[in-house]
Amino acid sequence: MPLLLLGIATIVFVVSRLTPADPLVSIVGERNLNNPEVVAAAKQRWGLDESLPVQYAQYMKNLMQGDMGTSFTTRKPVFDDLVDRLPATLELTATAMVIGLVFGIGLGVLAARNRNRFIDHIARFFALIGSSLPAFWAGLLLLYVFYARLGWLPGPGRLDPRATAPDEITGFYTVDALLHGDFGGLRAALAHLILPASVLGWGVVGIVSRLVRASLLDEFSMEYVRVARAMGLRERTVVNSHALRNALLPTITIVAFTFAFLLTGAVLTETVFSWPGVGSYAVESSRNLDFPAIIGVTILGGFAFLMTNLVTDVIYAFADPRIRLT
Amino acid sequence: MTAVETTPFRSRRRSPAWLRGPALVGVITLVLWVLVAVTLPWWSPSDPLEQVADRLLGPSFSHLMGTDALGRDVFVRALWGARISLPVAAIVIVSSVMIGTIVGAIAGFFGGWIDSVLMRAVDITMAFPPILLAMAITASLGPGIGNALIAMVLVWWPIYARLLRAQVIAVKQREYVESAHAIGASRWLILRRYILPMSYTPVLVNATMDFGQVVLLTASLSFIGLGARPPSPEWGAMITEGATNFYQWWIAAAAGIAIFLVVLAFNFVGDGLRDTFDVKDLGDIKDRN
Amino acid sequence: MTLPAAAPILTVRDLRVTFNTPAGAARAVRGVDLDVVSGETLAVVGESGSGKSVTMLAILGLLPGARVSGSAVFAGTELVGLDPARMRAIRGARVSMIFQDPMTSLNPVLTIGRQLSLVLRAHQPALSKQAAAARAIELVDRVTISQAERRCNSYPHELSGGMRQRVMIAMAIANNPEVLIADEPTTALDVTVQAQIMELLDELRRESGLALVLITHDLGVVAGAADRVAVMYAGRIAETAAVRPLFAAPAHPYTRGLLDCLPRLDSRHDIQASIPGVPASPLSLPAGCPFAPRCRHAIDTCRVAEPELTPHGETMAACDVVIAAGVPA
Repeated sequence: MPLLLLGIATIVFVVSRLTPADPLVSIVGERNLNNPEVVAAAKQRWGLDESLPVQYAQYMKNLMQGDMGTSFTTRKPVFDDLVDRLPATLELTATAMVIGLVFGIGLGVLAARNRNRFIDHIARFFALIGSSLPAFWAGLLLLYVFYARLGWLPGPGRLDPRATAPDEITGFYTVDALLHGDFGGLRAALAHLILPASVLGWGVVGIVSRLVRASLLDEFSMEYVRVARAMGLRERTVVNSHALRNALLPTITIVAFTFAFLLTGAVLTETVFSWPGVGSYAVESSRNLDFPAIIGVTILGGFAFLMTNLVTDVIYAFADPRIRLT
Repeated sequence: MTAVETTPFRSRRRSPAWLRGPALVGVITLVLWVLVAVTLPWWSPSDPLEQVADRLLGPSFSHLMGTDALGRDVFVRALWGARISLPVAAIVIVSSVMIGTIVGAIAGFFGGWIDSVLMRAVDITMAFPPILLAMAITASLGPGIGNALIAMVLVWWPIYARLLRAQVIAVKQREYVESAHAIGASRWLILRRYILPMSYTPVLVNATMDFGQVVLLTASLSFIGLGARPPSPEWGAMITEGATNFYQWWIAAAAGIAIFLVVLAFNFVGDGLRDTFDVKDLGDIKDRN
Repeated sequence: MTLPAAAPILTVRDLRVTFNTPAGAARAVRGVDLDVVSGETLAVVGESGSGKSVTMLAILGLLPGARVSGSAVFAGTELVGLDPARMRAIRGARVSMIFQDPMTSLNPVLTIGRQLSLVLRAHQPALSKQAAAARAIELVDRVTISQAERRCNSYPHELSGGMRQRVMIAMAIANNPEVLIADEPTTALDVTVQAQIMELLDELRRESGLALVLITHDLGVVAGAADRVAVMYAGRIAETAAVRPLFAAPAHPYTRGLLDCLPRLDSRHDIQASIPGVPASPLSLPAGCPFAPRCRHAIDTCRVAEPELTPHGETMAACDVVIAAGVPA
């Protein structure tokens, strides 16, 4: 595992340094490229005058201490930038995950119980659309319909431009508003949250519902389900108390996968909805060729992904009594 | 004494799954798109890069999806987008499959330290959310559709490496491989003749579904500004234009619908292929005596 | 059908079960008559594919894809075509079934106690969680599993095969059924454990007066446990009798063949006897008697029309040749 992390950091470093594009452009600006003093100063300041191996060593050393360098564009430590923007992304992805799981599992159960009937086909269709529709376009479309045309929901951003965020406790606007007893603020935050979270969550609903349906159908063909039915248990009990427990186990393993999916989607969704999170930070950095920032975000992404895998394994071990060490 | 009737039911012969229902729709759609993409230069109503009418006109009979900020026909541009997205996706998939197959087969077949080293590379690459890695690589190489293509191949090949490796390991243990070994077939021959042919099914299914995902990723990268640059009529770039001209919904809609249709078609076909090769759906035999 | 001593609690008449498969219609059960009497053990014997399990499953409505016709009257209620809600109320409460493979018959992620509670509360909704849990412990104890309370908190994979089968029996008798159907209850178990399970079933039957239907292909088990026997072949009853007459003087060639296959200490043959040929497939049944292709005594009329059960000595057999010709065993 630590080897993996090392590998991640190395890859990212390599990737960022093999650029034919000149990062100096974004640092000093086009005009100053001809000014040797400015260029030399910039090179020294950003460590770009050292040889590559030295740069690598320096970079790794810094990384160990949690220093990801300073962003070319914001002039702040990348680490700080990330910490600043993380809560926004977490709030978005967490909500999307909840939406995705709740509706996904519900839909999957419905589809499995009504196999090959109307609702099964609807669920399948829904899932297919979710994975075929470009999320960023869907976001635009929904914004257009619900905000521009119908005016039901507020526009992009976490809050109205005129509003102020609740005092920061967790960085989650919804939670913070709640903790302050500010129900108006809570409503505003939720209203802004619902559209991007739904767009993000839609894909999850698709994946989860298909998996739950397939797993449930697998369980239905298991002997213990037949036994449960033979013992006269109500179908609802058979599904919820017996089959679902088993069917949800593979769903847990998919949590890691959906997380990657959410991160991917977050990048695009945040851009569309002007959501000030890590995803839009990644996009801005890429556009500006802000390499420390790009490195930082990518490492964060890799790290988060690894963590999720680990956590998933642990949760799975807990959930399946056959695996627990007695 | 009762006379016994023989079975009066006709057995239902079904056409292969990949030609039925939605899969058929998918295949037809894809064929149409390919035809359009290939023949477009001959019959395109207008030039996708030239202004042909007033700017920002809504959909009409002469311009089915209206015009964009530079007065170009949006519908025509959407059609031309296929000439970018489809070949790019094809190259990415084929390259990834090839690289992944080689790496995965070698790793699975030879095992040992080769396997460890190769799989480390795979694991590290797969430790990143694909889009972040693609963004980082493309940003480094410089924005552009060619670099985006390279980035996507670099991101995608590990999936097939893992897939192939798993298949190779599974097939390797089967008896007919052992017999081939026993009669002195060289390891390369075994790999080529026995193992690889048995492994292609999941690759085929995955590749088909992945086609759609690559199209999505291409569009996403362009949307961010890292893939195709203007004035290229790439779908993702068009959606960016559409985002800028928010109230002229048709600009983004054309590209969005185009992407949707293509990806949906691939998903249908992939689903159908998976049904063909998988035996899960057997109808109502509950066979216990 | 040999007339049983008392009025039967379950009467099956002309039961037919057909499956629609992609390869055509599979006629698994083609007109079966059975009588099940309280306090008695009826053994239903046959090879794989004979339809013995399907008969019972169909009666209990556990075959969603099949077409079932005929009659199965339990304590005055017609079970064939009964609406699902009422059938569910009967299943597990008044007519219970246990199955062959204890490994897979229990839910791996729930504790034993929980699974028992679910069965209890399904049929006795008034039972509270605590009461159900307590009753579960009692039941586990009743099926001779020691340390009942600890077992109730265990998971199925922590129990041996024999214990799991006992747990299944516990689930089946939890609501004091009047009929218990046991589908190959001992096939997946060791021989010593087999004896214990059969002993347990017998004890339960004697205690509560329930009717035990024993589905098996093992004639040894039949000899030890059954009061009456029905031998099935290709979806119909080939022969039926009380257990002793069946073993002493079987009439149907199939039954004789089965008994010949049992190795005996006093046998003079050193070669294991077997019935030639393969069992008839429900998808393609020959015209006439289904056993004819494998039967030593078959004559032309056997291949024309299927024989009905007719009395022969103390048994009833579906064979005209043996009876008419008076061929000795």
